This record gives sequence, structure tokens and C-alpha cells, in this order.
Amino acid sequence: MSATANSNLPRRIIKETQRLLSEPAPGISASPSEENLRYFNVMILGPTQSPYEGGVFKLELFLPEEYPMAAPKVRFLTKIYHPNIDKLGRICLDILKDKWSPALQIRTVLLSIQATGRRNSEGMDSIVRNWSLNYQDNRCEELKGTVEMHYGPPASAAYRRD
Amino acid sequence: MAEEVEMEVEAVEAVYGPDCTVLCAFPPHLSILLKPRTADVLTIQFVEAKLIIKASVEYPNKPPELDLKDAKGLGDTRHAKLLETVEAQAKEMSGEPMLVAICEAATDLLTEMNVPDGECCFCMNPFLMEDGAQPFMKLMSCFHCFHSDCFGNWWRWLQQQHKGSSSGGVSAPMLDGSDNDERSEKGTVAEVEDFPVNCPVCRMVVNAEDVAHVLEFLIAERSVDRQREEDAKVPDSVLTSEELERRARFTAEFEAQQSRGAIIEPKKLEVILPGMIVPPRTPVEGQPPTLAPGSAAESPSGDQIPPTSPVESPGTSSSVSGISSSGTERGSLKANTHEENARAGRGVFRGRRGGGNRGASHTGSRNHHGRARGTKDYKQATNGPPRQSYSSSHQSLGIRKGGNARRGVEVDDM
Repeated sequence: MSATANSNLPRRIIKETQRLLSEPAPGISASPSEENLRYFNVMILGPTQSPYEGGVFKLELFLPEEYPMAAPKVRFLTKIYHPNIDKLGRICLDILKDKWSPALQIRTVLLSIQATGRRNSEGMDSIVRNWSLNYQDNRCEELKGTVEMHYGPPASAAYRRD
Repeated sequence: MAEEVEMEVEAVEAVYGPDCTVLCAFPPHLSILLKPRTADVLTIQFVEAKLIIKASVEYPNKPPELDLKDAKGLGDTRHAKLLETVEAQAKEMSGEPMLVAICEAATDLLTEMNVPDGECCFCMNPFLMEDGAQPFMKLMSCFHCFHSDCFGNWWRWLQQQHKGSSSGGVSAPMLDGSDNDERSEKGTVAEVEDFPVNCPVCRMVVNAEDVAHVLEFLIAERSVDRQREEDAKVPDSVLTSEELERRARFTAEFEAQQSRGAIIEPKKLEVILPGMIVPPRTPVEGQPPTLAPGSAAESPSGDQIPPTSPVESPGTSSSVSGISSSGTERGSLKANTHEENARAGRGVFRGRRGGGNRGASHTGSRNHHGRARGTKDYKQATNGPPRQSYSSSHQSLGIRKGGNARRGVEVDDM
């Protein structure tokens, strides 16, 4: 499968890949997998002046066959405590769903994801509403513990439940 | 003086007609919509901007303030250049009537700039290439440009998606049938109105007028897959040494995070519910299939299913147990190694009480014992083998907390 995926790579994907590699956005690096050039390993640094500052977050990004008509699929690999990201690393972000536009690119998507670290206090949406309904104190405590374990104590209210 | 200025304003009004709005005659405050001189054919007008001129009572000795509003098709660089040019012009002509001259200077520059800016957002190729450009088109109200082929592909793709979802089960081949030709063409026209398409760049709703000039083209070609023709081989330049270094860093970071348990484990397919009978696990290499006599003595209760467990699985009770609701009260947390995931993936899950401590026989979970917390979420419980909370029942099996857990392997495998 990977072989066909690579031989059929549209020029746009190649172009984007080359630009990503030659002029990476600050705090973001993305690198295509050797077996499948539609699959990217991504590393995002937590935005400065945010509770995620100093954290290194791994993500995976996949460009589906329909890309750029359809949005890339992106998921956090690193555990993260964030109102818009669920425990499987799925991201609730409009531009990855109904607000996708072919004018967006891998770079802009990753920048948007990085920026969600800044606005998480207002960014309550369906996932987190669900989340706070389904999970009791201990679950959140546990997640908070995980974050602290890996990234140190929270700098601000971002990890607080209320 | 004021009269002269007012006459000048009238002159501007005369030249630009309806494109000129006089907000105030004295001191002059005007808004003039400027277009390239070649803009008679609207479909090849790629730029325009509103020039706001706001002068003080000292005009023309003091040059007016200038600003651009509602600029279309210019992009940041050209926008800045246009503003710079008109401001320079105003400064140069300080002391004499300049309103018409400023507008003319701006119009000249816009005429020069009357080409689409940058690159097509679909294919990321520039519009103007030395080796023969691809045909492009613009959306009439927002002035955003695309290669006609690129836009057409996307348009048809959207139509297909829309038809696919709205026809609810009617398959695409039916819609493509030859006797449907006429209807689908009309459908395309109608759908411009009722099927929302947004400009990919600015998200402005695309109206029928926006694409009227290219509608024939959009309807004419049916196949979405034209882009395949331009699929290309991956150039070797992608795999530079720098890139290989980057990959090494990625792997290192991933492994470091994994060792800290910071990586989200893959989701398990199997969900274990109360009362489910789980098939026996295939014996693991290196572990005796039967209980060694010595260990049996150590764990007299190892075979028993506690009374709280409602399910028994006759014949396999030694290696399998149902999960009672009480058994999951203590629940389990996620496994933190792939080794454990792999084992869990086999579908063997043992209730904490009923199954003894098989789950604890694998490495990697030792340091989490203290963190085991109650949860009634069964899905979570399937995220890994049961993380034992080493309560009294386990101690009765001869297992102590900490380093002694390995002995549990022997105890368990009976």
C-alpha cells in the first residue's frame, strides 16, 4: 500500500513537504515517514507563555487520498491534558472538520494546533463537556498527575478543573 | 482657498463618477474606488482598492492622510507598495492641488499590478510561470484566483460529496447515467444557490454570479481525477542528511516519552463487559503451563473464584474468569508498555479477584501500583491487563508488593 501511495503522490504534497523541511515554522517540525510519504511524524513545542511551555508533544499526521480536498488526520501521541484533546489524542478543532479548506496546509494546521495551547481556557467544546460529565474527580486528578509527571507542575489554571 | 479646494473635489467627482464618494467637501474627505484602466472586462480585473483621502483645513499645504480600504487581490506586499507610492506622490506635490494626481498615480500602479497575486492555493504553483501558464479564473466578488482546473476539480469533488450525502444511498453511477445528463447540468446551476460553497481562501459564500463566467467549464468536465496526471515521483531532495537527523531526533524523543509512559496507547478493539466469558489465553513461552507443586502450596486459594464473582466458566476456570462488577470496582489503569498491550490484545482479561494475578506477571507496571484508582469504565479496563491493586486478597496469594511480584508468575500459571 505504501508503495502505491508514494508513487501517486500529488505535486502539492511534495511541494509542501519540501517547504516544511526547508523553512520549518518555529516550534514545529514535521517529517515524512520513509515508507509512506503521506504519513508525517510531528513534534510541536508548547507555545511560550502558556501552561504547555517547555513541553514537547509528538503527533502523527496523515494526508488522506482526498487531500487537499479533505482535511489531514492529526492525532496527539503524547498524553496531554487539554480541553479540546481527548484521552486518545484526538483533537477537536474546526479546521480539521467542517471548517477545512483546501487553502490550508500542513503548516497552517500545525500552527493552529500549536495555538490551541494558548486559548484553552475559552476553548471548551463538546469533547470537554463530555469529558467533565463522564469523568469524576479521580480521572482528572490522574490526568493532571500525568501532565505534572512529564512536564512539571502546571503554570496556570490550564490544568485546573473548575 | 476653500472654494478652490471644493472645485478640485468636484473635479475628482467628475472623473470617477459613481466610484467616488464625497464624505465631506471641505476639508476634503473622499473615498474613491480605484480599478486598473484595463478593467473593462470584469473577469480579467484582478485588483482593486478604495483610496480614502482625508485632508485638513491646511490642505493643500499639508498633504492629506491616505489609506486603502477593501483592497482586493493585492496581497500584503503590493498593498504596502501602493500605499507607499500614493503617499510619496502626495508629499511631492505638497502646496498644489493634488487630489486627481494622487488618484491617477494609484490607478497607474493598479494597472501594472493587474495580475493575480501569488500562487494557486490548490496546487501551490504560481499563476505566472515562464513556461506557459495554466489557465486561471477568479471569483467575481472576492477576487481570489485559482487555476481553472484546480478549482474545477474541487468544485466537482464538492458536488459529488454533496450528492453522495443528500441522495442517501443512491450511488454515484446512477447520477452519472447518460439519461441524467440534462438534469444534472441544471442541477449544477441550481446548486450554486442552494449548496453552500465557500471561497477556499476567505470563506466568503460563493454565489452564482461569482462563478457564472466559468460555469460552463465547471459543468463540462466530469472527472474529478485529473490531478492524477500530474502526480509526480518523489524527488530525492526530500531525504537530505538534515532530514535523516531530524528523524533520528523524532525517534529518540518518542522513545524517551514512551519510557516515561507519556505516549497514548493504541485503542483496544475488544471491550470486556461484565458476564463475558473470555477464552483461555495461549500459554506464554517460558511459563510453565501447570502450576508447580511448590507454588501451589504457597497459594492455597489460587484456584478459587471469589463469591463476589457471578460468572463461572466451567472447564476453564483455572485460566479464565468472568469479570464481576465488583471486580471492576478497583478497575485498572492503562498498561504502559507495548508488551503489555500486546498481551491485552489477545483478549485475555482476568478479573482482579477472580483471575488471580496474571496481569501482574509482566514487567512495566510495578511503579504504578500506588496509582491504581477506582473507575467503572469498562473500556478503560481493556486498555491493558488489569493493573492489580495489591490488596489483601493478593497478599493471601503469597505476593507482596514490590520486587516480589515476579514470583506471582509461578503462582499464577496453573
